[in-house]
Amino acid sequence: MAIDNERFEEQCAAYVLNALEGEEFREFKKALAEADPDVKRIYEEMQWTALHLPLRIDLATPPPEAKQKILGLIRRRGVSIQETLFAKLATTLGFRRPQFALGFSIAFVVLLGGLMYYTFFLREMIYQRDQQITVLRSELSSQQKRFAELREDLARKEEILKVLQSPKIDVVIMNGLEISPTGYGKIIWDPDRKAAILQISNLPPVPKDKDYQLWVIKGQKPVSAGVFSLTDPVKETFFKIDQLVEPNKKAISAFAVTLEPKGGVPQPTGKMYLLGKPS
Amino acid sequence: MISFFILAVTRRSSAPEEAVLLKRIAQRDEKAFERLYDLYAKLTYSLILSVVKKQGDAEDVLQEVFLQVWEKASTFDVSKGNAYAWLITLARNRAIDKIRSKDFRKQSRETVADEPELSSPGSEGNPLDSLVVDERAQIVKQALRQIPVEQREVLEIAYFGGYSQSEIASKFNLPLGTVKTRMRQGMKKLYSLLKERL
Repeated sequence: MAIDNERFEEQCAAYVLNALEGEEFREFKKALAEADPDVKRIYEEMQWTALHLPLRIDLATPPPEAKQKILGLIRRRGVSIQETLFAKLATTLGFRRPQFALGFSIAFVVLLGGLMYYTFFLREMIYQRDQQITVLRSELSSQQKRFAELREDLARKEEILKVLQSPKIDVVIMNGLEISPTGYGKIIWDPDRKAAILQISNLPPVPKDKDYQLWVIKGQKPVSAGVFSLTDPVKETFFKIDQLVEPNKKAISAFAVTLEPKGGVPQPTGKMYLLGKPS
Repeated sequence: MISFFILAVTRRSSAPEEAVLLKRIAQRDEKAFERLYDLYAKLTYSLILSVVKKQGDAEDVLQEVFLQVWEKASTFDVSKGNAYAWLITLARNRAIDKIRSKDFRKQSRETVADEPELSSPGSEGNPLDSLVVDERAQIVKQALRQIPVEQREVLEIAYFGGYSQSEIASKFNLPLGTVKTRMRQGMKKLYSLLKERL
């Protein structure tokens, strides 16, 4: 509830002189907070008046040592603030003496520093281990690939060995033609098992978009017996022939090797590199 | 008598300079603190002495006040009041706390805070500005003499003695309403007198 101006003035006069108390003090504070500008001006005027009251005092000079004492205290205050902080820390940590808190703080900082260094060391070690794992994985992949190649090579050689161990095999020699005069080829053929091996050497390497293709010529008609690529022309290389199913040797008039588009073609289109006739 | 203090304050620039001093004090500038002390030590000491009456007690309170200035300078808000009002309020409240604790006049009174709640910011509320200080002091003394003595007594015992209205009523054996009326009329009269001369 708002108070009238006279009551406000009474309370205001007492308030600025610090003579208001109890319920009236609270009532005035509330009224002041809600006061309109005209009422607030009363407060400002009374406060302005109260601020002049000290000027009625005859001035006295404080002793000179009072200033030096105060200056000395504020200089020490910086130190005591630090002491207070350590004292608070000591209380918080349950130490009886601030020195223990200081010691604890230093130990804590050292421990923290050690942990930070150890963390950095661990991170560095993990990074190095990651690098090693990457290298090892790459090596493993390479070894697995090599292992697969060796297993494939072994399987081929076992197949060749089976053909060679057969009691009845035919061998057809193929010689190099004009385009590859030093080229050489050999068909090792087991008609009973319908298995055959092609051995070649000294043929030029195959371009990426080409393959060598083996042909079985029956009469005048060439029939594809499979395609192969030559990766290392220096070595003699063996290839298993899966499509040589003709059991009758006499039905075959010749074997030939031509260079054809990658994957082979139904009928020969490229140049002939090797040619051989069954004996 | 024109004291060193009065010479100092008459040469002083104004409230903005004090605001700068307090800002520097907040940054732990001892030179600024010394300057503020030189400007205000006599006035605050005189005010404190007029309340506590004893020189030793006055020195103790003066020390407390300036240590508080050193510690709380960063909380001083120039937009809410001037350094004069802040220091005077600090000094008076500390002095009154001192006599209350010594006299065992235990009271459960709520008091105003150490910081003045000024609504007239800037230098307008600063009695040390605008006029030569001793001239202004003479005007205040003269104005006080012009108001009825019973009103003046009530104002002075409240301000310099730290008495509440009910304590004044008890001390002078007066009805509380009479004390309130005298206090209100005294303040209004003093305001009118000061306003027309300052």
